[in-house]
Amino acid sequence: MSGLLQCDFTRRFANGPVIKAAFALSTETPGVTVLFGPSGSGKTTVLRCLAGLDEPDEGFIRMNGEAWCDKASGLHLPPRKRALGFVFQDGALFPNLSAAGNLAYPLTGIPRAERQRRVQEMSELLGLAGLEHRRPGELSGGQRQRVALGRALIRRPRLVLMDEPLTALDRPARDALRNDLRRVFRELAIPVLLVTHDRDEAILLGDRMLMMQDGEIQQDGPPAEVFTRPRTPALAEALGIGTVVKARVLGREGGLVRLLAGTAELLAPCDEPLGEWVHACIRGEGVAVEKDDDAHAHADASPRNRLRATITGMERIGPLVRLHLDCGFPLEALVTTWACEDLALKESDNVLAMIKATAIHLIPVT
Amino acid sequence: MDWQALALSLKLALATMLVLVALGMPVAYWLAFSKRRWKPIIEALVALPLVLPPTVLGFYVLLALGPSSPLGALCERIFGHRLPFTFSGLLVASVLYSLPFAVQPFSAAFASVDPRILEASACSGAGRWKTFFRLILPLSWAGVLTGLVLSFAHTLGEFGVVLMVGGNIPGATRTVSIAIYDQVQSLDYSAAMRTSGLLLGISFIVLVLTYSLRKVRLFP
Repeated sequence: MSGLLQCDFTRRFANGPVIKAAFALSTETPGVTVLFGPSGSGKTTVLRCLAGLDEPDEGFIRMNGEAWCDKASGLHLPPRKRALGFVFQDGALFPNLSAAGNLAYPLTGIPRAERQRRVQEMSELLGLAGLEHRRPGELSGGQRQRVALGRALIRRPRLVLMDEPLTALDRPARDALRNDLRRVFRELAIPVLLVTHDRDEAILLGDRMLMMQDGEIQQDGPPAEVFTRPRTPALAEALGIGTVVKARVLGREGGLVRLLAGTAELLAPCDEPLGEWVHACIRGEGVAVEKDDDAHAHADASPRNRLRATITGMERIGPLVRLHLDCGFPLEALVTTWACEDLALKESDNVLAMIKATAIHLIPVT
Repeated sequence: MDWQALALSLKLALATMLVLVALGMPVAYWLAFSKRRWKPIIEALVALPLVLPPTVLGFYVLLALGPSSPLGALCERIFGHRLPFTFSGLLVASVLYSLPFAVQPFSAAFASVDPRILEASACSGAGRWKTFFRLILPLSWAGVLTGLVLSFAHTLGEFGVVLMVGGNIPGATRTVSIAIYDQVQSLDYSAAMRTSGLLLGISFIVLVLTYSLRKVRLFP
């Protein structure tokens, strides 16, 4: 088939993990596919096999019908014959060449004037104008990563592979480059496969997300969907959903289902048939907390789930506080430090935990 | 002062160094990047001159280049004359004798180039030659320089091999270290003192220059 990267391969490490990947990627429609997963899940191995830097033990990789790797016939094309762009986590720039030299490196068999034009065009596109003569050692982390990106894009490859290109950068540089990436990907219309373990990166950059865990691709869909509707409890945990609790289905009422989790009752939306038991996944962001004083009985707020809870623990994460609550089952809530101070929350306080019904995602127990 | 012997030594050292660039680089490249099981055998062969007495090496070279060996006969046909006791024979022996002094620093320098850089080069569509000449060689300049200087200095000071293979023919195989030996044998200590001092000075200055150059960081 043309216009398609197809792969189905296995890479076994001696005394180590087994990594499997089976998916197809359109190379005609531009877009960013995110390969997401916790560290050690095998994302980088998949990327390296696609690039030809690593070799699968079984299976095949085909680009637009042309075999890049086919273990059945022993074929393995070296990276230089795969005509793709690869961006390494640390950039891997050539330290002896200037920024322009790095950008021009992949261009061969092109007249000098055309080469210079392409290099200039690329450095303008990536905001590197004026830095062309600097060596990598004289560039900032963000600038180095831009050069690495330009070097991968300058041949206009059929596919660009990126291995955590933003991880090594500090926050401001990362945010700036992330925004530029979106613009550049759209402008050049080159399909991208991006490895990351950063949730924001996956949501902001990705059009499609392949979720990897334990060496296999477990879920495939738009990032927002994968993050809110994981297919298994293990995925829910890997995706950073704070609370995954087993609950019994008590009954249905008008598109909603009533659940018993621990000793607490929950109301959640459900449009599929469910068995008797489900896993209820609740994101920390979907839980609001109120001081539980008897003077106020806020029955007029919209969240349907209002549970009396005790604070059992508090953790600061940057501008947020993660509250560990006991509301009949262990529940996590994510609130701002500001709110936390305003409410003067402290451990063993009694609070009211409010969960919007739509913030609960149910996974049938199989 | 035996200027003829000094000139011959410098000529031999320079020629050895140049041959080792052409011969030592491919060997060093292979040693740095090959993953063959039998690599240690080649590594050991290259390192042998470090531990063998020069007389042993010289003896074998003499036998190998002699007219009764197939190799010697072949060389005789190529060069038009017998190799032992000529400058060409001396050059062959010197190249073998100084091989580890060039190959080991080359190979260590090649191997210390960040493998990510080599992968990035491959992903940029570059083949081995381009990767070697545009990246590996420039990034290994300090190791290459060390190898060149060490093989030069080592050849300048060799004695046993020269004696075995070259003999003591003025203008052809009588190097400066042989000249010193002769001077001492004939009890001409003042001449030996001058020649030795000169050799010591040259060697020391060359090494000082090399080690100071190595400190220069070309690519921050």
